[in-house]
Order: sequence, then C-alpha cells, then structure tokens
Amino acid sequence: MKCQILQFRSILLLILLVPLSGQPKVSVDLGMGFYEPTMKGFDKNDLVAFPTGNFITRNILFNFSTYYEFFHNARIGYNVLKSVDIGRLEGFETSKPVFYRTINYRMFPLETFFRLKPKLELNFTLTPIWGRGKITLETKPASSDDGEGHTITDDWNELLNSFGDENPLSQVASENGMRSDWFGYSGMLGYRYYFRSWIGIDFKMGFLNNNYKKDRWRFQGNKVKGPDMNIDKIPIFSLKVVYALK
Amino acid sequence: MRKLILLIIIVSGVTFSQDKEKKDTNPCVDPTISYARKYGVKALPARDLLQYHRASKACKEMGGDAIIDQIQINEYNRDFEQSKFMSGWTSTYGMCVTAIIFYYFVGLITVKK
Repeated sequence: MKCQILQFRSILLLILLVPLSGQPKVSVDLGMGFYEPTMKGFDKNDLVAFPTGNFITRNILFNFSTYYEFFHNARIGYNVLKSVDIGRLEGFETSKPVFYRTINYRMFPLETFFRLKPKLELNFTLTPIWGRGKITLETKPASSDDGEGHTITDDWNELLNSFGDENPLSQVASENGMRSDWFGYSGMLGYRYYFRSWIGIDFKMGFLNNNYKKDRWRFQGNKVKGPDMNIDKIPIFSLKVVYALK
Repeated sequence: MRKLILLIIIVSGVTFSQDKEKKDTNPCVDPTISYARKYGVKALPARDLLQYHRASKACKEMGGDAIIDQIQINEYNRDFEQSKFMSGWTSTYGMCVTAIIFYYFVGLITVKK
C-alpha cells in the first residue's frame, strides 16, 4: 500500500510539475464521456432486481487517455472509456450478492488536427474499439457451497437465467466473473482550447459502433448468455482536460 | 626537500584548480534555456526537461520573465505555423472522419423520423 502511495505520488508529481510550455508532444488526458445506451438486460429484467440505473451508472463514462504527437498534424494514443455499476442484487432466494459491472471501451485512436489559432485546435479521430464487459458477483459467506441452502452456483444460475440462459451450471469455482469481448469502431470530431501553456480542454462528439452480442459471454471456460444491451450506433460526447507532459 | 616539493604540488593543485563554484550565476543563460530559445522546448531531450524547468523558474525569480514568456509565445507560434494547415494525408483523413460522422448523424435523424 505504501509502495502504491509512493507510485501514485510520483505519477502525480510528474503530471503536476513537469508540464512545460507549448502544445504537447506527449500528453495525458483525464475526463468524462456521455452516452445513452439501452441496457434492457439490467433495467427490464423480470427475474432479478438489478441496482436502479442512474445518470452516473448508465450515461457517464470515465475517461483516461494518453497521446503521442508523431507528426505536426497527427497523433496516436490509447483511450479508455469506462462505465461502472455496483450494488446489491434483490430478488434472489436467500442471498443478496453484491453485483459489480464494468464496460470498458478501449480505443487506439489516430487523430489528425490543425490549429485555427495558436491556442485553438480542431481534431478528427477515427479509432478501432476493443470493448470488454465484466460482471462479478460477490456472494455472502452464508450462501457458500459448504453451507446449506442457496449456494454460489445457485446465485450464478439465477443470474444467468435472468439473462435468458437455459443451461444451468453444475459447479462454480471461486473465480467469479463473467466477461465478454467485442470489437467496434468510433469516429469523433473535437475542439481543443489551450487555456494555459501546459493545460487544455478538449470537447469531442461522435459515435460508438460496437459489435456486441449477448451470446458471446464467457464464464469459467463456458459460453453463457449475458445481458441484453444496445451499445451499437450510439452518439457519444466527451469532455476532458489535457495535461502536457512534454 | 622532496617533501617540500610534494607539498607545493599538492597545495598548488588545490589552490589553482578550476573553481566550479565560480561558474555563471545567471540562470537565464543556462544551456537548456538557450537551446529552448533557439529550437523550442519540445526539442529538448527528456533528460534536460527538469533542468530547464528549474532554470526557467530561477530565471523568472531573477527577473527574466520576458525571456521565459517569449519562449512560450515562440512555442505556440511555432506549433501554429507548423500545423495551421493540414499537410499530406492528414487532410484526407480529416475529410473521411467528417464524412463518416456526417453520414452517421444523418442516418440517425432519418431512421428516427
């Protein structure tokens, strides 16, 4: 923990102290994305009462990215937009497991830009997406396999049944996350303003196109059905702060 | 006598050695600042960035604000000159992205109607 704090402090120092003048060759961006997916599998589930969706868990994406300007009109980078949901599941027979869901939109953008004025920039981004969804259940010790009544396996079967999976699992090992990967692409138009020599603000708008399929989830080596979500062809907006590292 | 000569050599070695402390005390003439004035901050090697940062801070404290500000202005202007027009493939790329996004939003509006 102490080591992690030191690491964090070093990174923070790097971000806060080293920034130098000029529009950056290497930059780190922190911000948020806004979108509106349809998550029927969670919001309109008849069997399991998932945590009620709100603006933060449904529409907000936490954004971290880093870019390298390899040409005076272009940059490449790595961009992650993350959606998180956490809460306790109601409607299970005896247990109330903690549910944790993340969706990561990992992007490898190629961005071209030009400056309208010395401090104003217009940018164009096209990027492939490697998306990953993950669902975790933390069941209560009382409902573990060696106790009586409801077991971890029962909890998982109940969850998977609610997604429309008819094949019950016979045994669930301790590792308790199901996940799915998919590919997609995104295009964005952005506007950036450097209000200090080492810091700027970037606004982007565009779309996300994800090839998500609910049948392509994996759980402990088995193919299972996941939640019904519509994250295909949706508009997206992002607002972030750009720190110049060099 | 031999001891005396040895002592003279040692003492004179210390006395007439180069005094590193007597180097230029004006931080504004630091080599990193001179380099940044000529070629820009982005041209500085990564290992010199911290030294530049330190020197520019010291230079500002010594009243050299104008020099550091000028470096920053030059940096902005240099970037602006380099990228006020899209060159090579970047303009085609930009046009493609704009067209894709335009097509997408037109599709979105049309489908909803």
